[in-house]
Amino acid sequence: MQQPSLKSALLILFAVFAFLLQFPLISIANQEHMISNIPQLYLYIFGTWLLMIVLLGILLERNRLNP
Amino acid sequence: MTWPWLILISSVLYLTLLFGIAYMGERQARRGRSLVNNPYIYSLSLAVFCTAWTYYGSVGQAAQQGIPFLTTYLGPTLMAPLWWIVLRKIIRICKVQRITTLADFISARYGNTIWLGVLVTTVCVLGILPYISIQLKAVATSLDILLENPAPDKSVTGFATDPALFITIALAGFTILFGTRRVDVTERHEGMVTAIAFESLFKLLAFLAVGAYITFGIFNGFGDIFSQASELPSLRELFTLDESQYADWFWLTLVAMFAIFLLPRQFQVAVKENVDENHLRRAIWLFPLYLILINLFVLPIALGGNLLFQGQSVDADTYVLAIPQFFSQNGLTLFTFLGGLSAATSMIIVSTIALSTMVNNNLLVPIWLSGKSLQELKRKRINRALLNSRRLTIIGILLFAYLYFKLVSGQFSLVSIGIVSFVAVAQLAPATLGGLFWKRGTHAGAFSGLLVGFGVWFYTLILPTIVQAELLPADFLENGLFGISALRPQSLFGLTVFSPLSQAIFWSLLLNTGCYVGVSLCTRIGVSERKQAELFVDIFRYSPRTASALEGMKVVQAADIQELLTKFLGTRQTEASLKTFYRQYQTSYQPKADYRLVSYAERLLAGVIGSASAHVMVMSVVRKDDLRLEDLFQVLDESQQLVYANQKLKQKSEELEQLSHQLKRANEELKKIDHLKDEFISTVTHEMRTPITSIRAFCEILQDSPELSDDEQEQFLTTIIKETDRMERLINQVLDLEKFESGKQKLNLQEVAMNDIIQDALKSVSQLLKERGVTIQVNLSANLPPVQADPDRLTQVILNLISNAIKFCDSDNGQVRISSYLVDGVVKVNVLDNGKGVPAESQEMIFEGFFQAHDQTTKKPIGSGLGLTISRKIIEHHQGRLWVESEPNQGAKFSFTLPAPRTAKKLTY
Repeated sequence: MQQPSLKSALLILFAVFAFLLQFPLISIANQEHMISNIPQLYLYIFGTWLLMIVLLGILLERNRLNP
Repeated sequence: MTWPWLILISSVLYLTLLFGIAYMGERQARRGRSLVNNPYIYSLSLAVFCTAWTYYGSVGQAAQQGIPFLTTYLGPTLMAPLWWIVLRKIIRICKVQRITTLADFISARYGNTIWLGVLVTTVCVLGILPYISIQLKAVATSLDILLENPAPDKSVTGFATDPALFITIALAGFTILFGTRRVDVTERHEGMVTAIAFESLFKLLAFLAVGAYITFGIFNGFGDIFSQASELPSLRELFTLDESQYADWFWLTLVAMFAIFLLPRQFQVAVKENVDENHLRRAIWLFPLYLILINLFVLPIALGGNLLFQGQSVDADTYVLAIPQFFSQNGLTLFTFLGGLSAATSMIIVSTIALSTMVNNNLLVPIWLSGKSLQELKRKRINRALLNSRRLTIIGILLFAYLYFKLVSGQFSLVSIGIVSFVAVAQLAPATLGGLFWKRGTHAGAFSGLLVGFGVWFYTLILPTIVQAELLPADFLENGLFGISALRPQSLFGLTVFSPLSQAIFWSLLLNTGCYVGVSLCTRIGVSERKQAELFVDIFRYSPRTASALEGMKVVQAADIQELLTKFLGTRQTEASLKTFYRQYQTSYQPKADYRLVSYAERLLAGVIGSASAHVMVMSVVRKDDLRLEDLFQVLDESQQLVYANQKLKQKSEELEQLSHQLKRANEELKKIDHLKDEFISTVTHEMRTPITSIRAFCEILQDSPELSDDEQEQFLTTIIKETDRMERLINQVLDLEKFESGKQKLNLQEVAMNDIIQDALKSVSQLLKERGVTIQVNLSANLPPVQADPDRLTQVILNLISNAIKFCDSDNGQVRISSYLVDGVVKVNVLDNGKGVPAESQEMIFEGFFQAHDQTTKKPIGSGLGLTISRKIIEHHQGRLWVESEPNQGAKFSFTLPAPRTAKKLTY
């Protein structure tokens, strides 16, 4: 499989997380339900957020040598 | 020490520390050990995004609405991956064109026009002033909270009555000290950035400390707070988003995405103070990490505050401070307060620097310069005036922010004013992004889009606040302008599905973008605009060199340029800059400045007065009359240089060709030598075969014929011995020759008398002379100096020459003459015979090996054929010369010379 350039990888990451964090996808997590005493929506948003940071970190630190 | 005094002293100490850190940053930069050249400092400085709004306001907003406060931080996080595409491009453009503010950036992109710069500056100032003022408000409010409890204390009256004023004055001092060091604003403010990075770290630690205390100290972890809150219906509502909030969620995220690179302070730290665009790589994930950390405890604090202060009238914006104070945690309260102070001050400092540069370069300088000729400017010290005006602007901005805080912002929450500012700067997005990626965007498009967007922003967001402040009649909100309901500010054109805020964002951005695109498509692009569009959109395709070449072709007197620069930069800096220029382009001072100097000067000036003003200033010294012709010349000059380069290339290739030719010749020479060597070997072996054949023949005869007489046997044996001698001689000579050729031959040099050597040689050939009946005539000079020579080798040469002479002299009346004498500082020896002589064409060939062998007339070779070759080698090794002179049938004269040493000559006297 051909590896996408850093630029397109970043664009894809942006698009995926923009969808994950906006209506309508966000409405799936938008329920009063609690998971181990933490509201599901809070958990979803912070979790997605953290995942995005981890992916960004991996992507940029890995690609350090080839821009 | 009383509590108010403690607060006062720690605030002063904190600000002193800030000054100290900034001072240290400046000093390290001056020593060449930049602290700022570091991706971590860069990422931390970006966190100037988190202001008192984040520190106090987020909790306030979360306590009332729940999670929507996060849009302000999710927007920048979503934007982070795009930084590599958008922000990196902006950074590159600003570095190449020496752009320092967003107003400069936009006006430079659309042809350096002043009015666009003025408009952008106006939007920024009107948008950001209230934002600065709420920082002051936050500091003042937090102080109020601290001083109210435990008991009002009037001992520090001055400070307590108006702490915001003190903070304002201190920050004005800081900003002037570390923000207006030099005239050239493209210089980085390393001290300021270091201090900002420190403040970012400080506020994060403070917020995490208070958050951890509330979550784990007062409550029993996240789960405890959330489960307690879930029991109250009013708080359980905050766990989810209301259906109607999805639109706000989207529009606020979008606006925050724009804000992260369009806010003047963000532009300042992210673009202008950027040292290396590769720092972005780490900032792209470190900055969102910072954001998630500083937001981690916002919801627990908000819900915790709501649980703790149920039914009490505590402003949710102050929970962060009120909770630790409520539990009498004085140390933590103080730390939290200082964290808030750091959040507010960092924002105020950077925003003020950014705005003051913008106001100066895009508002004041153009007004000030307009209508003034260069002659008028000569009388003024502009660089000093510029610095002072920037300082005054800083004071002015802070003063207005303070007044706004006193008069207006007291009535609004931190977040509401912050959001309004975000929407204002978001209006810059279409012109900026379009300018980066769309070459067709025109000045008219950018101007009209911005004007419309700004107008809608003012109408939909600012007018309602003025109504709220009871400066306008309230019915204006309900019924719209002139009673037209479609013009109601909070549901413009009858759009009611969105909240007032969302519809303001929607309409302003929609109409802004629409005008930008529409008007751009309907207008033509100007010449300088087209050039800039090219440079901006394709920045990564142009090296800085090409960029400056495309900058524009104008012709100016270099003296005018220098004079102009001196006005703005001062004599010393101008001279240094010009020196840099000449070094960089490897040219020297020319009376007519070429376009590179012009664009260089323009970029230098842009760093001082902004790109639009710089353009005007440079144009003012351009001689318009000879513009066209000179342009042509410059184009010609360019191609001339190309031709020159071409010629050089051609020359180089010719040289290369010559070199390969030489190589070829050398190769041929080598081949010839190789061939000669083969021939030599074959000759030598041939020469050796002759004696061997005869030796073998005689041996066979002796073996097969025992009847031979003793006499005959002896005759045969003598012949065998003679042939063996001949072969031995040949082999010795070949070996000798090889030694000389390879340079292995060592000469045993000593002082010898030439005449003695000749006499010795004559003695050894006397028998031969008698046999042949050759008469010899010897004529030796008496006063020859001794020569440095190897006696054995010299004897070998003389013997060879004499025996040759004996061999080749007239067979009937042989005569040989030998003479020696000193001539021109050399000892010369002649050996003459009276034989056939050496034909002119052979005079050199006889010194090559086996000449006789090739001479078909001589049936049987006499001698080995190597004698002369070796003799010449020996003489040459003595730094002498051996040659022959001859006329046909007049005999041959062989001569050799040896240098007579000077010292030896002196010794004889």
